[in-house]
Amino acid sequence: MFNLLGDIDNQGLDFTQYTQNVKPGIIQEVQDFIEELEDVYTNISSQAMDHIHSNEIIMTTGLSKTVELFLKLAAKKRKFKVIVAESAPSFSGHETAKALAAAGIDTTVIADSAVFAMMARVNKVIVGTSAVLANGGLISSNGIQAMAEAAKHHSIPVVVCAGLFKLSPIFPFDEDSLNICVAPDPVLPFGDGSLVPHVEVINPYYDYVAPEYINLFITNHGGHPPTYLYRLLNENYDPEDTYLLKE
Amino acid sequence: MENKTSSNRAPKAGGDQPLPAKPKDKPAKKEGSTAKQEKAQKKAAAKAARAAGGKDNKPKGKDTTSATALAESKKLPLVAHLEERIYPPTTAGAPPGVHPLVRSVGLQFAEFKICGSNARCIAMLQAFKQVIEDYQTPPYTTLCRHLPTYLSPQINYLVSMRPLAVAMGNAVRFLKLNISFLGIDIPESDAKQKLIEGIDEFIRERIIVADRVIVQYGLQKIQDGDVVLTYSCSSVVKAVLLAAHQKNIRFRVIVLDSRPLLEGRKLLQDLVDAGIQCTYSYLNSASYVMKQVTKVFLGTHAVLSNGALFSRAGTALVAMTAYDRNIPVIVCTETYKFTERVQLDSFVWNEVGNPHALIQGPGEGPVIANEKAPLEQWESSPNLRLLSLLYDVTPTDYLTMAITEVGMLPFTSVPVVLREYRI
Repeated sequence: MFNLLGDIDNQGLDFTQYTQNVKPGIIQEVQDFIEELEDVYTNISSQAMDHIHSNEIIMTTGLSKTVELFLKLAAKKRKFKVIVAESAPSFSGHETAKALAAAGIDTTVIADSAVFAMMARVNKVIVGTSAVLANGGLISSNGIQAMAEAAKHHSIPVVVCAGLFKLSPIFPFDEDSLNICVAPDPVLPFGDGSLVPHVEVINPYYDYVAPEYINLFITNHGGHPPTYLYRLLNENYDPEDTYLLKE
Repeated sequence: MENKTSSNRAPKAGGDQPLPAKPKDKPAKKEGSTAKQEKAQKKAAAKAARAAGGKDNKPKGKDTTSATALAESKKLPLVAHLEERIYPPTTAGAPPGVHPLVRSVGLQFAEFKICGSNARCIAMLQAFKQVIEDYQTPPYTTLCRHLPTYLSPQINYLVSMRPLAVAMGNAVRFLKLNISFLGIDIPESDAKQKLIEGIDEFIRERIIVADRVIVQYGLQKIQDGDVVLTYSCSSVVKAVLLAAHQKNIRFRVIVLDSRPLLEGRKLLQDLVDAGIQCTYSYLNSASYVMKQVTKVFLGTHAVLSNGALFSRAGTALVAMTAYDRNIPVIVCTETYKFTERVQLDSFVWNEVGNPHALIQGPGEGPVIANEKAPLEQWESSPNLRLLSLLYDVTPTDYLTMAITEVGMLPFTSVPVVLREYRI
C-alpha cells in the first residue's frame, strides 16, 4: 500500500496524460492490503506455539484483541496461567480476563499495584500496542511502561504482539506529544466536589514504552527484535512518505 | 482517638458463648481445614446474617448479607499459605475473654477504618492501656506471670482480624518485655501504673516525637521549586509536606494512588485543605508524571534488615520508576518499623485483601458501572481468580535514603541501627 505509486513502473510516463493501467493496480494493492489486515490476527496467533510452553505464567494488561487471540490459540494445545493487571481507570484488563477465562485459561486479575510483586513469578510479559514507533518504542495503553520496567528488573522477556500496519515512521522526539490525557472523571470523580476544583487530575490514555524494555515484536511477518524495526520500516514506507508527514 | 467513639459498636461485651452454631446462611464453600475453623466460620456466618439488617456502613456490594470465606478454587496457589479472611469482617469469632475495646479496634482494623502502621499501632496500644487498667490479677498468681496469658488472646484476636503490622509486633514485644521486668512483689496498682506509663512513653518517644524529628530532617530536603511525588498515604510524609508548606517553601506535590484502597485521596484531601498545589493520578501514570518530579517521598510499613522496604503494594513500582530516571527516593520511617526479618520476594509474608474490592468502585456498585461489567460473575467462572495483594517488597537498590529519628541514613545502615539501638 505504502509503495503503491512507487511500484508502478513510471519510466517514461507523462503524468499530465490520462493513463489506463493505474486503476487496476491501485485496486489490486488495496485488495492485498485488506487481505493482510484480515489475516493479521491469524498470522500472529499462529506463532503462539513457538513462544508459549506448558505451565508458564504470562502477564498481560489492557485490552488487545491480538494478544487475546494469541493466548487463546496457545491455550488450545498448552496449559498455562495468565495474570492480568486490571489497568485502572479504564479497567480494560477486566474484559481481557473475562475473555481468557471463558476460553478455559487459568486467569488471575490483579490490581496494577501488584505488578512488581507478581512479576517475580512471571515467565513472559505479552502485551499489545496501539502503535509501534520508528525507534522500536511503543505507544500503548497506560501502565505498560511500568510493567515493562518491572519485567526488565526481573529479567523477564517483554513480547509485543502487533500487526505490521501499526508500524509508524514517527520518531518519538517528544514522547508526550504522542500521548493524550483524557477526562479525569474516572480517576477523581467530579462528584467529589470539594477536591476537584483544587487538584490537577491526570489521566493519560497512552504510555510511551522505550525500545530498550522490549525484547521481541511478534508481527504478522514473524518475530523481530526492536533493533530490526528500521528495516521493516524501510520496506513499508517510502522515505518520501515520512518526509510528507513532516510537512 | 477514633476507637473511643465507636466502642459502642462492639457487640456484647464478653458474652459470646460458643453456643451451638445455628447457621442461617452457610458459607458458600468451606475451606476443608480443621473442625474448629469450620465452627468459627459457621458462627461468623450466622452472626453476620443476624447483624446484616443493622449494618449500614459497609457498601460491600450485594453480598453483605453473608460473611463468606473464599472458595478453595478461588485461591491462588502462590499465596495459598497466607491467611484468608472472612468478608465482611465480624467480631463474632472472638473468644469470650476478649476485651470489648479490643474487639472494636479489631473490627476497625479489619474494615480498614483504622489504617496505616502508626494509626493502628497507637489504636492498639491505647486499647491495651484500657485492658491493663481493667485487668484484675486472679488470686494465687502474680500480675507479671498472669497478665501475658491474659493479653495473648487479645493479641491473637487482633491478628485474626488483620495480621499485625511489623511495627505493632515490635510494640507488643516491648509491652511484654515491660511486663517481664515487673517484680513479683510490686503492688498491682503500681504495676499497672508503670505499664501504662511505659505504653505512653512508647507512643510519645517512638512515634510522636520520632515523627517530629523526621519532619525536621525532611524539611531540609524540600526546596523551593521542588516537585515531590508521593504514593498512597503515609502519616509522616504528610507531616513533612505540611510542615514544608507552613515554612513557606514553594513546592508542588504529585499524589499517586492505586485501587482498591485509594488511600492517596485521604492524603490529597489534607494537602489540598492546607493549600498545597497538588496533582493526583493513578499509579499507572507513574512513568508519565515522573519526568517532572524532583524527589520522591515514601512512607513504609516496615523496613527489612536487608534494607528492603515492605510497604503498600505499588511502592516498588514507584521507587523503580524514579530510580530509572535518576530521581532520589527518600523514605520517611520511624525506627520502630525496622525489623530483623528479611524477605526476598513479596509472597512469603504478605496480606491478601478482599478480592471483591477489585471489582468494586470507590462508592457503591462495580468499577465499570454499566450492564457489561465484565467480572461481576467472577465467582461462578471456574477459571477466574481475583487477587488483591496489600504489600510488596521494594529492593534496596531503588532507595536513596531513609529519614529516621536517629538521622538520615543509607539503607545499608538498617542492620546497624537494629543492632546498635536494640529495637
